[in-house]
Amino acid sequence: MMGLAGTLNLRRALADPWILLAGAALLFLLVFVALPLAELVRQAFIGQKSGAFGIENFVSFFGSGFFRRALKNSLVSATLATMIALVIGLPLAFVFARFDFPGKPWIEVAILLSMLSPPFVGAYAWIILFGRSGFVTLAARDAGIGLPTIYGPTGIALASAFSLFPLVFLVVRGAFLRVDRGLEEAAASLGRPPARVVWNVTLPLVMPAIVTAALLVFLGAISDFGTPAILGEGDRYPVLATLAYSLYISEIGSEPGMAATTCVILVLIAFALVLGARFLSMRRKVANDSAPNRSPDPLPRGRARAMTVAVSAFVTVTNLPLFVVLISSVLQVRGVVFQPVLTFDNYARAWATIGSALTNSLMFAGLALVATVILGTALGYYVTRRAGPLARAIDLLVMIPYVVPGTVIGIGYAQVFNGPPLFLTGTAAIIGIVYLVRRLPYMTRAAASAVFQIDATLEDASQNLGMPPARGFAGIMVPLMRPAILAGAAIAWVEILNELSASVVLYTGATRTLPIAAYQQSLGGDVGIAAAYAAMLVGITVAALILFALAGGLRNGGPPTTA
Amino acid sequence: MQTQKGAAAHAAPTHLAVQGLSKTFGDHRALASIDLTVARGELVTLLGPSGCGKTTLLRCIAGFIAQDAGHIRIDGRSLDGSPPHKRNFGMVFQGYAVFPHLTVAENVAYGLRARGVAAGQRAERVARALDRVQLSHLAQRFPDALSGGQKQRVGIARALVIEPDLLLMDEPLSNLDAKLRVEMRQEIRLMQRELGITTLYVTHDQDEAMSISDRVAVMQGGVIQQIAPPEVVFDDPANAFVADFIGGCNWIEAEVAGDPAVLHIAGEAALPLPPAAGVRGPVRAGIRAEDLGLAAPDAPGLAARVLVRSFLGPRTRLRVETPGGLRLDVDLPSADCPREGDALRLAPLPGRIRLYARDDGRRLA
Repeated sequence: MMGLAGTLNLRRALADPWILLAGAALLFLLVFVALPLAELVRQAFIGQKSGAFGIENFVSFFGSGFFRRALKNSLVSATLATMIALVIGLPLAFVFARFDFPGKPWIEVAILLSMLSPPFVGAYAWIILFGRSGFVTLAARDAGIGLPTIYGPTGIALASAFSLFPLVFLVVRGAFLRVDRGLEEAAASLGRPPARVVWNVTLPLVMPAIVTAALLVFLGAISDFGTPAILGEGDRYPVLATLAYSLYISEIGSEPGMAATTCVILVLIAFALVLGARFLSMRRKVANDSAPNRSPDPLPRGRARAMTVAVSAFVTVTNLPLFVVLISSVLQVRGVVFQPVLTFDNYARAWATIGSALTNSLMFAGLALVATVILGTALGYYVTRRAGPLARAIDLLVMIPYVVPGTVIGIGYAQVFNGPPLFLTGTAAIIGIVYLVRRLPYMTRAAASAVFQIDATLEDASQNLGMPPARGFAGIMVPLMRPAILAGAAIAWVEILNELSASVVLYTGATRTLPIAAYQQSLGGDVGIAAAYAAMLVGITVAALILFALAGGLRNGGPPTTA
Repeated sequence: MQTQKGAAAHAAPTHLAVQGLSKTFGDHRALASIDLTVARGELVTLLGPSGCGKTTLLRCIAGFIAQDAGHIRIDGRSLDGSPPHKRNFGMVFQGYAVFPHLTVAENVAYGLRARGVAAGQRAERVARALDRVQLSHLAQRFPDALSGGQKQRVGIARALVIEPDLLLMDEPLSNLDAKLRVEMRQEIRLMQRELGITTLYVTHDQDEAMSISDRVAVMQGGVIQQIAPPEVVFDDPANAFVADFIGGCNWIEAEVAGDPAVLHIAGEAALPLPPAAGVRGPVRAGIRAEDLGLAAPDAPGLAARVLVRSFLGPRTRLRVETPGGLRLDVDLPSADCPREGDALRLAPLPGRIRLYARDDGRRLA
C-alpha cells in the first residue's frame, strides 16, 4: 500500500512542472538571497583585527563615537522623514478616500510619480535649490538672509519624506476606504460633531494602517543609500547605509568585517521594524471586514474645484524636486552655479560622457524586468496555490530582500561572488541578478494577491475539461492576472531602472548604469551633467508610467505591503 | 443487505467502480476504504453532512486528489495515476467556476478546444449544448452579466458538451435560492435521463438527494453508511446515523424484554413490538415523527403534553413531553390537531419502531 502511494506521488510530482520550477527557484534564492546574508553574518562575527570568532566587531562598533554617530544619524533622519511623510500623506489619503473632485486620477499619478522617481534625484534637486550654490541659498544670501544648511539630517529627512510619503497615501487611503461609515454615522447620531467623529472614531480605526505606513517609511528611509550619500556628503554626516558602503569600498584600509557588522546592525533594525509592524497589525486588528465599500462623497461643484486646486498645489510642491531637475537640466552652468539661460549644453556634455551607461541601464533593467515578471508571476502563483514546506520556504526567502537594504545585498554579493565557484564580480550578470532579487518580492506579492482573488476551481474546471495544466495556466490564469502583472511590471521597470544602492557597490567601468552616472556627477561632478542624467531618468520613468496608465491604469497597482 | 437490494434494481453493467479507496489528510481520515459501483446511466448521490468525505471522494474520482490506496476504474479501465485532464469526466462546481474572461459560448467551447475539435463542428456542438440549457440567447454575454442560475446552466452545458464518460456534480445547486433549486434539480434529472449519462452527484441536502437519485450513498466519517434507492434509505435505514440524517428520528433509550417482546422505556408505559423481533436487552429505539399517532383509547400508549405546535400545511408538528421527561416530535394531520398544553396519548404505527445497537448504532430490528 505504501509502495503504491509512493509511486503515485512520485509520478504526480514528475508530471507537475511546478515542482521543477519551485525547486529551481529555491536553489536560486538560497544562492542569491540566503548565502550572501549568511556570509555577512559570518564575517560580522569574525574580528576585524584579531580574526577570532566572537563579538569583537560589535564591541568596536558600539565603542566608537563615529559608528555610534552613524547609528544615531540613521535613526534621527529616518524618524524625521517618517514624521514629515505622515504630515504630507495623511491629509491626502483622507481627502482621496472621502471626496470626489475633478482630475483625481491624474493627481494620483502625480503622487505616485514622487515615489517612483529615484530618491537621490530628489536629493539632488534639494541641493540645486538649497545647497551651497543653490538658487534659493544664493538669492537669500543676496537679500541678507542666512538659511539653515540642507546638508545633514534636515535635508535627508525632507528628501526621503518627499519620495516616501506616497506609501502613507496608499496604505492609509486603503484603510480609510475600508472604514465602516456606519460607525461614523452612529457616532454622529449619538451627538458627536463631525471633527470629533473623525478624531474619536475614524482615526482609531485607521491607526493600524498609519502605524504600518510609518514603519514602511522608516524602513525606506533607513535603507536608502543615494539620498544620505548626496545630502550627507559621505563621512561628514554618516548614516548606517553610507557607512557600510564606505567601510567596504574605501581603497585604503577597507574594513570588510566592520562593513559586515554595520550591515548586520542595519538588517536587524529593519527586521525588528517589520516584525513590529506585523505584531502591531495583528494585535490591533480592527474588525470591520463587513463594511460595505462606499464611494466617496460628491462635493458641490465650487468646492470640488477648490479641492482640485488645493490638492494639485500641494502635490505640485511634493513634485517640486522633479520640476527642479527637469528645468535645471536645460539651464546654462557657470562653475557650479546654474544661470537663467536656456541651453541644451548639459545634454550635449552628458551625451559625450555617458559612455555605455544608458545602454547598460536599458539592457540590464530590460532583462531583469523580463526575469522579474516571469519568475514573480510564477512564484506568486506557486506560493498561493501550493501548500507545503517548499512553498513556505520560497515565500520566506523571496521576501527577505524586501526588508534587507540594497547596499547590504550589494556588499553581500561582492563578498560571496568574487571568486569560485561563482565568480560574478564585475559582470553584467551580477547587476541583473541583484535587480531581479531586489524587485522579486514586490512582483511576487502583486501576483500572489491577484492569484488569491481568483477562484481556485477555475483551474480545476479547466483541467477537468481536458486542458493540460500548462495550457490552462496560460489560457485562464494569465489573462485573469494580467492587470496585476501589468501594474507590477510597470512599477518594477521604474524601480529597477532607478536602482542605485546595490548596483553602486557592484558596478565596474564596463557595467556603469545611468543612476550610477547621475550619482557620481551629483557628488561634486559637473552639476549640469548631473541634472541632465537625472532628467533622463525622470523622463524614462514618466514615459513608462504614461504608457502604463494608457495600457490599463494604475488602479490595480500600488506597492504591496508585507506588514 | 440494502446494498444488494439497490444494485439489483439496475440491470445495466457497472460503469464506474471504486474499490478500497482511502485518503488521509494529516490525521484526518477522509475516506476509509470506500467501495462503490455505479451502473451505466445511473445517477448516484453522495449525501452527508460537511466533512463526511463526499467531496473528497468526488475529487479523487475527478483526479484532483490522489488517493492513498485503492482503485478507480471506468469500464474496467484503471484511472490510477491518470491526471484530471485525461479522464474525460465533466464536472459541475458549486461556485460555478465559469471563466469570467470568456463569453458563455467560449466557456462552453473550452473543452472542445482542448480536444482540438474543428471550428465548424465546435460551433455546432456549442449551439446544441446552449440550446439544451436554454441559454442560446446569451451566447455572447460575459458571465458577470448572468444570474447564478444562468451561470450554473453554463457550467452544465460546458460539462456536457464534451460528451464525458462520467458527469460529476459537486453541490451544483447550493448557491441558488430555494425555488430555483427545486426547478433546476428537475431539469438536471430530466437531462441526465435523456442523455443516459452516468452521474455522481454530491449534496448535503436530503430532499435534493431523494428527488433526483437512482441510488443514494449516505456518507459519514469517510464511510458509506448505506447505499440504496431513496425509498429504501428512507424506509429501511441501515443504522441510526442514516435514520437520523434522512428524515430525522425520535431517539429513545430502552430495553427489550419478555415474550412476546415488549419495549420498556424507563418511567413510561411499555410498547408492544412486532412478534418477529428477536432482539433482547438494551437498545436505542428510533421512531419517526410521522410514525407516531394518537393511541386508541384501549391500546397501550405514551401519555404526553403538547409543548409547541408548528403548522406545516396539511400536517402539524408537535413537540410533546411525557411525565418522565421524554421529549418527542409528532406529526399529526392539521385538522383537529391538539393545542399547546393539551394532554394526549401516543402510539407508534404498527411495525414502525426500529431498534439500533446502543454502542455503534447498527440496525438490530
